[in-house]
Amino acid sequence: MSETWHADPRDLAEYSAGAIADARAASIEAHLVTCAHCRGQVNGLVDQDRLERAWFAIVDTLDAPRPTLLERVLGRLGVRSDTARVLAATPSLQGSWLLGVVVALAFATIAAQSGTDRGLALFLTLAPLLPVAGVAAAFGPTLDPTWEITAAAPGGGFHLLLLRAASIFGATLAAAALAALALPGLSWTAAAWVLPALALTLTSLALSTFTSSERAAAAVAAGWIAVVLVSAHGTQDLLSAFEAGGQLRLAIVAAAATMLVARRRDLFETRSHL
Amino acid sequence: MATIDDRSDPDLLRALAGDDRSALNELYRRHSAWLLSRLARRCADPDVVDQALQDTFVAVWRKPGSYQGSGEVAAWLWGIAIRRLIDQLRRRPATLHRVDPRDATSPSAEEQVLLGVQHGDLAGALDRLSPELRAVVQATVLDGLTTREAARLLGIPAGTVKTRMMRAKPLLREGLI
Amino acid sequence: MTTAVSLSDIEKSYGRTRAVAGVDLVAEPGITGLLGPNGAGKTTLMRMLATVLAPDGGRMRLLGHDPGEPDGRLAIRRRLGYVPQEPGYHRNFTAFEFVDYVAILKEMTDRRARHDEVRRVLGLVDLTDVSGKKIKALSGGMRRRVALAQALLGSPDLLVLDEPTAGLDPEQRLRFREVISAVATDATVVLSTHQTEDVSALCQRVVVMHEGAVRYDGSVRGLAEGARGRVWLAADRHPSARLSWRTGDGLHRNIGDAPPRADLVDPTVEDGYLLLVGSGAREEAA
Repeated sequence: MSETWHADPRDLAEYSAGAIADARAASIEAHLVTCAHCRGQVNGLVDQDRLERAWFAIVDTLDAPRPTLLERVLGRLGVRSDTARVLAATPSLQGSWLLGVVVALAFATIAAQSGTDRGLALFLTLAPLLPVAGVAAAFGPTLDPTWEITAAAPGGGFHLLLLRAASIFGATLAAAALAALALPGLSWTAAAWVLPALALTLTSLALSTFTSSERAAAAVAAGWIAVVLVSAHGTQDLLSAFEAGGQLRLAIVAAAATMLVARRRDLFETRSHL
Repeated sequence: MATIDDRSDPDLLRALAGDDRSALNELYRRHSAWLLSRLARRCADPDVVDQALQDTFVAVWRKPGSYQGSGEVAAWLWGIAIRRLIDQLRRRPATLHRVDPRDATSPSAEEQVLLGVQHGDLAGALDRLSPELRAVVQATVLDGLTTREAARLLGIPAGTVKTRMMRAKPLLREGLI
Repeated sequence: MTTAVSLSDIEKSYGRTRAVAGVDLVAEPGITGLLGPNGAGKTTLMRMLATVLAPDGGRMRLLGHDPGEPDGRLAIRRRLGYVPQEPGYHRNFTAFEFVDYVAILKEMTDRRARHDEVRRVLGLVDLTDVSGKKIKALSGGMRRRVALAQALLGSPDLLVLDEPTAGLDPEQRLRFREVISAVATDATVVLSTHQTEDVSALCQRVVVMHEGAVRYDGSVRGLAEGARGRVWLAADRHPSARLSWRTGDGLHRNIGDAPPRADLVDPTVEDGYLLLVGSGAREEAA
């Protein structure tokens, strides 16, 4: 249907200025819906700045980064949106990784359900290694696709690392704590993995200033398992690494590792190797 | 922007499904002005109108597929726009724009004929209604709103919308005979 | 304007490999090309320029600071833009979200201002229309442009671009060069490539690297001139030619010590480059 009748430009001007009677406005409005030409005429009659501002607001809404579930949760906890965004981009805080943690813990808990020392020892040995793996995966070429751009950015250094490490540690700690509640016979054993977790994570961080973070994590894991086994063999008690003496030694290791990390923090800012 | 986009309105809507930002830009270029004018005649608060306009195009971006493919895209856009305006008014009641009949120039004979061509003599009949009745007719008949939507737009109870419509109908019929 | 880049006797080794062997480099405002085949140590050098990697030895001054000092390094990073050889992206980010993420890492905390800046750089690389698209849905050329956009955040004074045109078709490379030229008026750009075309088209100065060392440092014209009298055409590969290949019109282009009465031709930048780095670079430079 071709519209050969067009609205009078004066009418349109009055219309868009809002100075026209309702009845005639209704007529114009009905016409505008069908006539692209007259719509074009109205374009020139409306405040362009106003339209442009509205457009930028639209674009802003459309472009606005969509917060992930984790970011929304962090937001509720009072974390600033840009900090939350940076955290949510951490590879080992992504869903798939956390799922892996949950699965590993599930296996360990099931093993510990047997009630034997062996089952419990398995849980206590595994749980501290989870944050170690998480922190190792949080930065560096292997799992973070944007690692290089991050490394060259002012906000991508030690501070970011600490933030991520703390979050990963907290997250795996919470998950393991929940799993520990399912252990038979709630006693000191339920928390016996916390200090090892702290000590091992710090040691892994400290070692990553000497070699790659993956190798550091692997070394720490191997060393820890060795310590557990050796200590068990020496005393014929599978859980000896986790008892008072063992905890004390771990506390000392944690303190030493902390000092080392603080001393060598500059190496987190720029690598000497990849 | 030098190049002219000559895609049809439905084509632009199709392009939106592929995240084509330039299509939305063109749609905005073609329709934002008249939509703004039409919205402004329903609500005197420019912030509310601006927000409704923005919400309209955001809604268009997010659900271009809700256009059924028949009828003018412009009409479909208006349907979205007026409902966004109502949503905004729900949150913050604003004053409704009324044209003061004394300010409006009376149509010349020629214009009256033209108006008659557009709407039978609906336009003339509308003119003879009181402003309150006219607003209700405009909202329900011309804008196609439901009673509840018209009530929200005009800031009156739904019952009042119904009674006014009942009063307006015989008057319009009279005027059209 | 002070010199933005000044490297002196820079060393970097991986195990027993000397990736960067005593490199001196000075880059003035404008575009400096770093040309060399793969394995020449370019990426290692670029990483050091971007403060991602620390050298084993030597002295560096970037934008007037020492990147070995924590404060200096931070100051440099605040005025630096870097496109790595292999930029990576988080899987589900849209182009806008990714550049916004980097903007956060670049300490732009004001949301409104940050979003405006993200839009500005996306506009510079002509990606406004696809800013809402997921990066994994974008073509390779567009992804490269996203990587360039993030480097342009904050209008950096030093731009380090590691093979930014790799994998782009000629038209995309042309557009890329336009963007870089436009940006280089106020900044110092160091651009590494193994395409001599990029160097001819963009750079005022070029540094040629081979096996960790600098083989040439000077004007682009000078690099070509270095091969004058050493490039000739013949029906076949000539025994005294260091390099030779068959050109489109059936003749062989030879580079090396020309025999007397050889049909000498004007040397190109590529000729000069190949003369310096030998046959290994021929396949890459094509």
